[in-house]
Amino acid sequence: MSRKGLWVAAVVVIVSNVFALGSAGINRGGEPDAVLNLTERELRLAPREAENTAMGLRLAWIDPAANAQEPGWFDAAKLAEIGFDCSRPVTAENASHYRTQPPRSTYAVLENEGAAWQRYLAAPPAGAEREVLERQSHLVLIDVGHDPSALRARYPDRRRTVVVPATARMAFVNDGKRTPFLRGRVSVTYPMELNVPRHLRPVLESMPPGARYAFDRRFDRLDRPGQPLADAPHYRVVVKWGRSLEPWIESVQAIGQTFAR
Amino acid sequence: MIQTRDERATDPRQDAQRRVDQVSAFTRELAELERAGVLALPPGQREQIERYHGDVLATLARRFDVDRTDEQRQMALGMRVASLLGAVTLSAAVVLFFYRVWGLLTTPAQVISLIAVPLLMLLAVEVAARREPTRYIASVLSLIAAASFALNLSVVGAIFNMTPTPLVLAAWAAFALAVAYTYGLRLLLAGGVIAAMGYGVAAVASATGLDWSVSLVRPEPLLLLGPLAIAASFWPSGVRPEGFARTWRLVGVGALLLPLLFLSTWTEVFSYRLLPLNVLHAVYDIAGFGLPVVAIWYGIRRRWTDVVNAASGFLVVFIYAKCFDWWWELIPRYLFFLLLGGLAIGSMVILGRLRLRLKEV
Repeated sequence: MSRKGLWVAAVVVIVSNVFALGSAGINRGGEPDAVLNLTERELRLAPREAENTAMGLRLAWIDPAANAQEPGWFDAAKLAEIGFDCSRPVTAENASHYRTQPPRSTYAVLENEGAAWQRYLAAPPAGAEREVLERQSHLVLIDVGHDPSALRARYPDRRRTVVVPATARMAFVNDGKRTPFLRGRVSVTYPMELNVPRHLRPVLESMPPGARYAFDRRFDRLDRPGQPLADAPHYRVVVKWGRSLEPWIESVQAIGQTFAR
Repeated sequence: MIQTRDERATDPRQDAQRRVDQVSAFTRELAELERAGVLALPPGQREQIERYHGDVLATLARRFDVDRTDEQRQMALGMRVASLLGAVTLSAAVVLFFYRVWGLLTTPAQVISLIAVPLLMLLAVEVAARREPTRYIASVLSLIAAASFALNLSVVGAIFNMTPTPLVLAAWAAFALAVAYTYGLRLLLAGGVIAAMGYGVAAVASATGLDWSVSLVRPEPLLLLGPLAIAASFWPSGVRPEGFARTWRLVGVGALLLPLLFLSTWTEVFSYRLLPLNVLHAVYDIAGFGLPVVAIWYGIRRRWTDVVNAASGFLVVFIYAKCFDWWWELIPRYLFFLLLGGLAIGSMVILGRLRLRLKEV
């Protein structure tokens, strides 16, 4: 029997990996698209599993307008801009039309400790304490769009803003008390977890077991008696985003001796 | 069942098994004819035939490891089940072992090991196929090779924090199809065809701006890909392993019919809405009833029992789904279930008649 198929399979393996590695090389070549200094607030250690020795950091960001009672900047016009069909009147009769639209791929702009964060601190949600807010991620979702180049032109500060691939959803908000409206939200940004290379793990591995930063003291469901939470993040991470908007961790440094005991 | 040209075996082992079955059938029928007094072989000729058949069976058993008795056939089935379970569990072991150790490796070591494992498994498949004519071990190793290639693509993406892309489905489909055709592995063929269809659906979703990871909410491209797979089953091929045409057909029929269940019942949720909703509702309702009937009719003509069974099963489920869609809210519950019961009995009568018709041909 001919063994051409065997060679085809081997070529597929090699070509796929060459393509993937080449893409990674192109992404990391030249000037990075963004370089951000993030802390444990924005990059949280993923739960470790016994069956998986890899280590990852999960990007955490906030969307202050997510639960607002008005559309905010992610309104019907913005939704239409990124491809959602908002042509019908926003009424209860058309609720099905809007609720059945699947999520769309887009690009999101995240800003680190910028004007959006300052506005959020200055006008917090009702009942929120400033201390609680400051413990959250300082990375704020500020815009979405189809064209990453156009977004970068709009937000040129590469040390404070980053453009990332994302998935956006549309919500048809109708609480019966006011006129229905459409609001968008970003459900996920990619990648969801950043791989920590082996040579950068020592700082993260030296954290005492159970040492955790209090991301949100009020709503932290992981708070356990006998495991006091730290008041400040334990580490700082420099992350670069390349030409293909794919990130990599450049460095990880401990912040003082703030590990909780 | 008379086989069509497309279903004739091209695998020497399958040819050998057919010869063995033919000899067994001849021996049993000869005994029946002699018992009924229809035939009486001249003295010596019976011994001559038995000697000849004995030599043929011994040669075939030695060269191709064929099953000569019903007990052997049952054991062969058991071996197939065992090999499938072995492939699944060993694949899981390979994947989980890698997850257990990869965090301890440097990035270059991770990449090298991820690329090396599927290539080494391909080599192992070839060695096993050359040494073992039954290819049970080769089929196990090929599934492990496919699993390790999937691991390769997935983990390389995770190492370099890459944005997920549907191209991985295309790559895995190409790998699975290449290995399947080389060693005559139908399960891997089915997996490869399904992955290729998945890529098609995801690529269309991605091209329209949808998040491709949820592309199954828009299964309409399968209505084109399914018939393409069915057409591929007719593709004349000099050397096509046995059962491949049937596998292409079954996957194609499934890809064509299954989406209709969702598109007909929840058109507004699952359709790209290229036409007005009321037009789409009518089109999918007609297709949901008509296409399985056409498949059943053509399957009977071509003696494709599997297609007839698959289409019949789909038609029954579709009818139930439409009854629920049309009448659940309109008629009392007891009448609704009485109607379904009547439909079930009617289906049994019709399927019984179809079964008789299949037996006649």
